[in-house]
Amino acid sequence: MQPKSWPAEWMRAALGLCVLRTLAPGPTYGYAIASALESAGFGVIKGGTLYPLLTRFEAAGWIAAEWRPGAGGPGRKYFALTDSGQHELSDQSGQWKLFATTVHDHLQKGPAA
Amino acid sequence: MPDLAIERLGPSMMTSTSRDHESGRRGIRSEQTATNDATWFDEFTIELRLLAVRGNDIGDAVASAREFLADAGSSAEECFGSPKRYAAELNLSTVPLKAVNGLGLRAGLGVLGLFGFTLSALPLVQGKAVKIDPATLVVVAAVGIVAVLLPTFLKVFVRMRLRIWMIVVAAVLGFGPSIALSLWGGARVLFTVPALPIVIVSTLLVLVPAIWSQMRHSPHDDPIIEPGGAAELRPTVSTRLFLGMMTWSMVNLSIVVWLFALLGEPLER
Repeated sequence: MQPKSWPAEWMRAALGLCVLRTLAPGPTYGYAIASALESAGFGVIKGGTLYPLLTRFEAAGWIAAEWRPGAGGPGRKYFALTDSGQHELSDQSGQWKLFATTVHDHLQKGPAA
Repeated sequence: MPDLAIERLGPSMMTSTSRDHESGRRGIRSEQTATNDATWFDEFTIELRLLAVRGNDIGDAVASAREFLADAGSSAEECFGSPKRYAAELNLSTVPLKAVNGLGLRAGLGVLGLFGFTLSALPLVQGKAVKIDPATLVVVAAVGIVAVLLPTFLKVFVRMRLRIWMIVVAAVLGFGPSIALSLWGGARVLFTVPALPIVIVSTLLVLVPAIWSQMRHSPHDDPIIEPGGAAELRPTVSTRLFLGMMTWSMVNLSIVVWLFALLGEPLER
C-alpha cells in the first residue's frame, strides 16, 4: 500500500532525477510536471518545491526554458531537456539503480556476517 | 549556452495532460483568495528586489508563479509558502551587491545633510553660530546612527508592515530624549560651531547623492519585464514624477527647511 506521503528526505533525494525523467518525452510546463509526478505516486508536488529545482537545473544547463504565448498573457513556460540534461538523466538513472539495488540487497540480506 | 531541446523535439513531442491549458484552469477563486494572492505577489516582488534579482528574472518568476497558480487553483501561500522563503529558494542570479548598498548609503548621506540644514539654516540667516546643547547632541547622535544603519536595515524597513504603535514608539524614541533633556536643564549650551561650514557640508551631502543618482540611473534601469514583453519605451508621467521625487526628496525637503529659515527669520524679528 502506498503511504499518504513519502518521507521528505526521500523526496529530496529522488525528486530532481524524477523531474528530469518527466521531461524526457518532450517539453512541458510546471503544472504538467507536478501532475505527472502526482499521477506517478509521488504525492502533491507544490510549486514552491518544483520551481526552485527547475531554476537550479536551468542554471546548470540541464534544461532550457521557453515562454510560449497564451491568450491575453505571457502564456506558459515550457521546460525541455538539453543534451547535457539528457546525459545527466542517463548518468543519474544508472547510479540510482545501483543505489536502489544496494539498499534493497542490504535490506534483504542484512549486514555481512 | 545549452542546446535548446525544444527546437529539436518540436511541439508534437510536448507532454500533454488532461489538465492542459484553459480547460484545466480551475474555475473561480474566492475574492479573499485573490486579495491574499495579490498581497503575496507584491511581497514576492519586493523580496526578489531586496535580493537584488534582475528585473527580467523577477518578471519571469512572477509569471511562472501566476501560471502554476492558475492551474493549481489554490492560494499562493499554499502553493509556494512564504514569499520571503520562496524568493530565497529560487536562488536567482543577482546584480552586484555594491549597487544595492550604494542606494542605502546615498539615502543615509542625504538624511545627514538634511539634518545639517535643520541645525544651521536659521543661524546662518541670522548671522549666528550654531549652539550645541545636550538635546541637539542626542538628536545628532540619533540621526548619525540612523544614517549609518540605514543601508544595513533597509531590507528590514521595507519588509516592515507599518503599524500605528511603531510610529508612536519611533516618535517617543526620536523626540523623547531631546524633549526630556530640554525640560531638565539640557538647554545649556555646551559649545558653538560656525553655521557656514555646516551649511557647506550639508549642501554637499544633499546635492551630491541626488546628482549622482540622477546621472547614473534612469527610469529605464532594470525594469520588471513580463516574459515576451518589452520595457515601456517611455514610463508614465506618474512613474517619472515618483522617481524624480524619490531622487530629489532630500533636496526638496532641504528647500522647505530653507524657506522656513528665510521666512521665519523676519517673523522672529
